Amino acid sequence: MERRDFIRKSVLGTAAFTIVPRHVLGGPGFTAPSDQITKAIIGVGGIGYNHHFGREGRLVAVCDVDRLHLERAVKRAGEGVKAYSDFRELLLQKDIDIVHIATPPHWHGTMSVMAAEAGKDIWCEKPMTRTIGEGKRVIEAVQRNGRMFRLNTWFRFRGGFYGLGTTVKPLKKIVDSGVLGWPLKVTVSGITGYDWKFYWSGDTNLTPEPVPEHLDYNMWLGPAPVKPYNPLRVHSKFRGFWDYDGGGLGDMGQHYLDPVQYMLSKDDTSPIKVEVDAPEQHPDAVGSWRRITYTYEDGCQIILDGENKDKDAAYIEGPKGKIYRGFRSTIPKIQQLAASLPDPEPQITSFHESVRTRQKFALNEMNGHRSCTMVNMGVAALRLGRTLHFDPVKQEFINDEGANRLIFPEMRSPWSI
Amino acid sequence: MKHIRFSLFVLSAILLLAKPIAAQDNRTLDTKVADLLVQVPASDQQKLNEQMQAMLSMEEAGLQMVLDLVIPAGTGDDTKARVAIESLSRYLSQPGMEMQQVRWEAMILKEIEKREDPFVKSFFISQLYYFGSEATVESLSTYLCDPKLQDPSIRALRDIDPEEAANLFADKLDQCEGRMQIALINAIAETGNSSHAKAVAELAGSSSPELQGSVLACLAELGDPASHSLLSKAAKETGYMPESTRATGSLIVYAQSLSEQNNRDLSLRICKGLIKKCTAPEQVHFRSAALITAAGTESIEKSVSLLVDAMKEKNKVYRMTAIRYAAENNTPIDPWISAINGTKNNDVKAEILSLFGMLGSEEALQVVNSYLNDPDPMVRQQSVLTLALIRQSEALPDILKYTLDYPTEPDTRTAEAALLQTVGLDQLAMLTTALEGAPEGAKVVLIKVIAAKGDPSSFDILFSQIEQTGAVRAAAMKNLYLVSEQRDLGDLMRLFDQLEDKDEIAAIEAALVASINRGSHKEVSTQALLLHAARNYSVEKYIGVLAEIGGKEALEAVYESYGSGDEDTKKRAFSGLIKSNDINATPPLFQICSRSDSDREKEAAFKNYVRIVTSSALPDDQKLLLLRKIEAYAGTPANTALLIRAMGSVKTFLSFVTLSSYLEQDELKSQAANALVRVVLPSNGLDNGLKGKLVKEKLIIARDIISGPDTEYLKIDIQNYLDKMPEETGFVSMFNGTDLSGWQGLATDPVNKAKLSGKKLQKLQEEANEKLKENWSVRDKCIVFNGHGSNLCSIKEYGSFEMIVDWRITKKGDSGIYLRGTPQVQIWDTTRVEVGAQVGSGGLYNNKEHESIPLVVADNPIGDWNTFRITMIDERVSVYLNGQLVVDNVVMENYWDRSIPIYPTGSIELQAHGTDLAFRDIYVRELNVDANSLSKEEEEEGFVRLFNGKDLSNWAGNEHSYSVEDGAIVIRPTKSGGNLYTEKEYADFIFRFEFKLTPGANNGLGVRTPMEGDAAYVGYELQILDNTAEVYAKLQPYQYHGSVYGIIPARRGFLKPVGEWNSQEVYMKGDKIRITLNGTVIVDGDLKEASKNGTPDHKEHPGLSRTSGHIGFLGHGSLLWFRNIRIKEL
Repeated sequence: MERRDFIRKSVLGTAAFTIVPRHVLGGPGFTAPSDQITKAIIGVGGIGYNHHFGREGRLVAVCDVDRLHLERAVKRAGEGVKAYSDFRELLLQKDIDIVHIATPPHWHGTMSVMAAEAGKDIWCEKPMTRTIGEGKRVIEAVQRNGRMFRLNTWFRFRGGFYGLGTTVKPLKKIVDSGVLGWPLKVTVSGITGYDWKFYWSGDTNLTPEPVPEHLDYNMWLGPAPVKPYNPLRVHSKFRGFWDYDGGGLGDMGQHYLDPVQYMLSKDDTSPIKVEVDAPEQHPDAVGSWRRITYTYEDGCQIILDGENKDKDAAYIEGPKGKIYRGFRSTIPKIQQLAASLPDPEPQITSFHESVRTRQKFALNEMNGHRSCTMVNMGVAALRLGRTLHFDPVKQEFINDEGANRLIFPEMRSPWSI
Repeated sequence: MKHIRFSLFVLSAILLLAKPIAAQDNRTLDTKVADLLVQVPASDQQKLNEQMQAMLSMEEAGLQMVLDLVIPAGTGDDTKARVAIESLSRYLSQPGMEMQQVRWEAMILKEIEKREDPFVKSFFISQLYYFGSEATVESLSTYLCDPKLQDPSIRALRDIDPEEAANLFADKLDQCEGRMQIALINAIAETGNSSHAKAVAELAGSSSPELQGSVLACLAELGDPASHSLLSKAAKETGYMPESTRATGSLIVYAQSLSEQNNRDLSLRICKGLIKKCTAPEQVHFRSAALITAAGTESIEKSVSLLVDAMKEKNKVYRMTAIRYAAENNTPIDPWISAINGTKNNDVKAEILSLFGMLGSEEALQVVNSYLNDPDPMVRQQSVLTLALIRQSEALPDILKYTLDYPTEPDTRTAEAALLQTVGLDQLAMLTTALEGAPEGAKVVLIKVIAAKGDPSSFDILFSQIEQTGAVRAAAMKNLYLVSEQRDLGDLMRLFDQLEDKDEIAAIEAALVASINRGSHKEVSTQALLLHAARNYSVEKYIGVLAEIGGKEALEAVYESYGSGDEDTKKRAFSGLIKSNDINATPPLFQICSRSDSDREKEAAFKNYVRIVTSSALPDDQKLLLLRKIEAYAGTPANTALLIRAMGSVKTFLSFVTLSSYLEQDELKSQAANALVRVVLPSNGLDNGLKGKLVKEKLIIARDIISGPDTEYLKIDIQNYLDKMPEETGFVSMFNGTDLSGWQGLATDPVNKAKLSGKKLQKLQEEANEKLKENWSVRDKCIVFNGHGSNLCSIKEYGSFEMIVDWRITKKGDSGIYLRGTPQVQIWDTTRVEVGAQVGSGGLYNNKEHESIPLVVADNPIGDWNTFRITMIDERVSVYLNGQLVVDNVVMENYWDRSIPIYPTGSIELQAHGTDLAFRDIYVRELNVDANSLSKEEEEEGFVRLFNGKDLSNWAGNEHSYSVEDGAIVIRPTKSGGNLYTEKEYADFIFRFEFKLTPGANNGLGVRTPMEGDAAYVGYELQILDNTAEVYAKLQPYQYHGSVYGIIPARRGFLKPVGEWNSQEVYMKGDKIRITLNGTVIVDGDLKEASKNGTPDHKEHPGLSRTSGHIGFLGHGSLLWFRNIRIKEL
């Protein structure tokens, strides 16, 4: 597996992202009206159908392994949109610029790599990959093929950030200014405005049932191990199983943690330790947890408080100040202070601009992989029920063979990336 | 069952080092396994570790029993066994466990061999994912051609020993076909063992693209030089186009592998060939990949020149790949400086400039600066942004100069972005200085940036720019809101009064709003604004501001303008009201909705009223009242549907009731059913679902109606919830909506009542009932009172209960709810200051000693409905009025006889007090708080109560593990379990109690036992156990519920479902013992008789000779409840 090191130096590179705003490089000779950028959606069940159908870009193809989903999508998309049940065929359609991957997470890595190798740009749902190893291979394939990659969470550059009542930008400015001191502790809990969605737990002891004729279950499973079909494993219920996702932590974790990595300027590294306080986990179904604590080499910590135990928790706490839910702070007039500080480095926040100008999107394969690694570290510690130590450079767990076996398990054939 | 945790602890330490059996552990193996599994899943890491140690210390036969419990899916519940097995595998995968792995590995391997079901086999194979040794490699290799077991076997083998695994995979290549052959090829690729390249290559040329693709990918990964011609040929045949075998991609990966093995020449030959051949747009990613592979192979010098050369190409995708690769690999700068100076292509110049920015390279500054005045706007702008990135605030003078030099689009946008990135408060002065004399376009940029810094001291500077004209004035106005503070209100109002331009008005409106909202005294500012507006006769002009700042006064003023202004004013006022997010906008919206002539207005008012109420922070009770208030004005089914959806987010019993009423309307029942389900089911892992008979009945109806995406899953959730819902009556209606059944007149007060004879009382009651008809009636599903006569009383009498009642009074109104025939939870018009009504309704009006005044005033306006939620437990009362707590657990005094506490039971009465009244939706839920009281019969028979429902008096022992909650004794799982004994000893007795189990629960009832020692042996233990738990499937007959442990087995099958209360009686007299569970005798035996040939469990039972002792609950770490405990000594 040494070849994997070939691109690794760039995986670990600390170069800043490209920074040129849209009007600069979208100049003469390369401006394309947005309707000229074409897209395809793989997975038109929940997210793919409800969130991404009519958004920017001209839809030219859809794909699903459930015939009912596909038929519904075709009906909505209207004429001229091609329908596929095997995404490999879709990837060979020439007039597709962007492939939107809206399948359950166990497919994200494989499809991203294959899309990159087919010369497509990629818009991938969160979480980026279900394992750390898949994430590394996505980076490699995307970069080798000169592809643009967008991970679909957005808080680091847009939108009110849950209970914070603000965008991430002013928080980033405050953190960067050093006014809170260092190291920082970030608490992500109900108290600070987040919902860990513990109802995304899996059902255990499922009875095997016949696969409905409209579903290609073998293709739905893809690289995941075969387990007997039950309707509670698939479609909106997949979030509760380790084979496909990881419950609230797996599915919402990157949403909540990616902006934190950005704020703490940790986009090119990972925590060195993860501790869990949780009940014993089922082999197949995701259960709940009470607390997950990440520690970085410089002492910064991110605490996921699943039981809202720390009632007075600040969202960000430093030795010199705290910021609470609703952007309240021990620092007087914090909003004014935030406004007064210089803006952070600009980011490209339109994927179409990124596709046109070939500049990295704000949340791309590199920083996306790092924030997803947080999720996957947490999942590993939770499943194993023990504290794990991590080497952010090698991207391996230290002195824990069991944990390292979760980094890149062999995929079920014929899938391999 | 026996306690296990403590003894195991002691043992585990020894067992880890020594042989597996310890002398003092006299539990049977079954018991040990059951004891282990009942603790699964462990609640935390410490418990998990203890559990793992317990497993490790178990003899092989015990572990085997756990393994045996795993069964094929769908044939029973083996969840606990699977969890325990997998946990142990994971546990053993941590460092330092190699010794312990051996035994477990051997057992797992044996199990894999033994089992038939492929999924069960797979489960056991998956245990070896976490660890495994040569034994696993040897054993699993037999499954490499098994279609169902190949994948898990490969997964385990690859990680255990990649070298040996590769050999095994290669060996089997010609024994499998299709997908299985592919699996082996893929796995060989992952091991990276190139010695098998030849074997894999032999499979090339397949007509299956899937297989051919795997072969090529594998060969690419292995990087054997001998594969060159095969891979090249395959790619060539595809014309280097994307296709299903992905041959060209594999060729590039092959080049990478060669490069890593230092076969640079061949690698470069391939890459350079591809760069030359792949020039079509759809090949650009192949070409890019070839480029960076070559760049990574070449020396740094040659690598840079390759990348720089790429800048000569027409295709931007290709060029930018080179730029990004250079940026991420810290390329030397000089060749790029030559390149930028040597090109005439402005796109390329800009791209190289962006590279300098990404590299943050100081060496490039001179070049970057030289482009600041480039005639090409794109090049110029890129140089500015690059400069900002490299030098940050030090670049400010140059950026300012650029701002002044290029004051037109699109440079102004770049100037703004660069300034925002470099200017902090410290640099603000430079900007304000530059403002003077700057060209118009630059001024606009500077104003925007100054404002964006949000410094209130910039207000004056920006305000002064309003005197300018055109774009500068517009920019100053538009950005003023960013720096406006409370103290600027006067200036802003004076300016505002003069404005006529629509955009200018909008800009200063925003500034006014900001100055008011940002201040610490919003009410004062609002007052000042209203006063100013009134004085200038210009309230209309301020409508937008007033609507946005909100508050009661401001929104009332807006509504007034709506009513009195001209068309335009009316329009703006209306628009302000419907855009508001303030709950104070709802009364005006209600008025508009109910009165307006315009359907369009009505519709908008309705929708926004519902929106504001739903998103408000009001308590749910109040939200529902407001939603119901507008119900009659919905006008269209679509609006009613909207209202129904809104009610779906209000989680109250009355919301459920309201939604139920729509279940029979064809047009709306689907909406209603979906909303009702939302209200009833618990949310987000909370325990807030609604319960009771009525709920159950309607939920079943709703379940059969609901539709929409993923309904099938929701139906499963509903069924689960129904299955788990406890059998309790819950709320029942006290009023059927049509007549006064269940109610009667007030005969007389309780004191008098007690003195009267039955006959006399009956006569009085009949008279009262007759009189009632004159004063109380039912109209529009409400009970109404016309202001004469006396109270309306429930026929049924209530002790402890929770009730819900909606009430409405007229002006000067006065009423109340009597509890247990006693006045009263007060209802009155809060304007009646003369009688002290300003304190609000809900108070316990007649209390003298205890609080009589409500905590807050929570009344709705006269004529609107109010909701009471009243809870009365024993003598204490809590009242919520419209969702706000107004009485917090206060003792209600006995008004009729202050020398005694309030009566234990009595009727609920609606008070008549001389004004018109209405009541609706009256529901009551009786509370089972007297579950611990003796029945009359028992009292007469001589039973005494052993548990008072409140504390543990009469009990001794481990009082830390046991506590009293909601009138029951609960034992929380703790490490040591713990026993709770009666203080007194008993010989012959009838002991009655109720208990409630949790899944897998285990406890015991000790009788005739001393407080020390193991009651099962030193006294008797009557088993208390969830017989249905899978983990107890293999117990001995004398270990199930009710058995005299180890001595007399009990009959099984008479426990209520887990989670329901069971009642049990234990009769002991001499050697006779009889146990009755839920009315069925499950043990009827003789202790002497049963043990005369030795006890069935072959253990010593010294307790057999005891004739008296304590009675106690014997904890084994499970959660259980006990209540209603009473005894009669014989």
